[in-house]
Amino acid sequence: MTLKTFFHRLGSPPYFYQISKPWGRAFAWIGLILILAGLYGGLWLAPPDYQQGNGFRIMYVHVPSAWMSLFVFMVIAVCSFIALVWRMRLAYAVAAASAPLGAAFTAVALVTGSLWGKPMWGTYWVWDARLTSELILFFLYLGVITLNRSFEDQKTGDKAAAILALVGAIDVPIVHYSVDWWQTLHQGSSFKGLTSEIAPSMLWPLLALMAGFMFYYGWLVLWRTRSELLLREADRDWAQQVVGS
Amino acid sequence: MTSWHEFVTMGRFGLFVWPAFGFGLVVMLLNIYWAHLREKAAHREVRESRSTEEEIRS
Repeated sequence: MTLKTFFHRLGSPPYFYQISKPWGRAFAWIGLILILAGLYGGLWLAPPDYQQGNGFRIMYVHVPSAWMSLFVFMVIAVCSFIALVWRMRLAYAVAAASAPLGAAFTAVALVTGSLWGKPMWGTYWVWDARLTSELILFFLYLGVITLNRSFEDQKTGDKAAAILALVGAIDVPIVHYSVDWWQTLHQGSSFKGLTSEIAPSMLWPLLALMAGFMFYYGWLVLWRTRSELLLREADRDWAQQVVGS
Repeated sequence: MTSWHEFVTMGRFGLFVWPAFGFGLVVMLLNIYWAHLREKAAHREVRESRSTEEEIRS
């Protein structure tokens, strides 16, 4: 099977439903192993930071969540583009499945960042560029979810949510580069391209957790996409067969 | 970490570190629960659609 044929077949809901289940299970196990390894490394093995002491360990839940909040919104924006241009039903389903997960990652990033801010900055919240743009991202997620479920006709909801996701995608680079473009209380990016100034003993648990969160998202997005496809195609033969079996 | 005491108290940052990880864990578990609920809702929708079709046919 060529790559082009594979992508064509992947666009078919029954085919996606069939192949995504084993992939999802594999993602779940890989994610769990990576997250457990990352937590052990980050909470126990990594030495305390010379300035922040053990408070820096909040990084191991904050940074992966913040990274996923941006990544998932980009996934939604790309899927929305594909869905609007090529009218691919699977792309709408992936976008709808991703939005609640992205909102959850953003909420974790905001709350853990706030808990990190209090001992380091002396306040839970400041209206600086990074924090404010991340909060806007959270509201964009809520907007996408709400629009998707606000219409009697699912196709109208899908289109409205896709348009908001495409427009809202402008916030993703703003969040990422906010610490470079403006004077912020928030520290600079942990990564500059593929390099990082973080010590290796502190870095590997972070990378493990970031990869773990990615696989966790992969597992859940496949699971939720299967449900979205069933909801959208409930009267089709393949959906009846899947639920009947 | 050099001791369990240091691990639990996280130096003087335990009050911030553990709630952060606790919140992250709760949200991650809720995501799994919500995915399960969505799947149940989808299956129910398909079953209802089937029974409606059967009613129309009969």
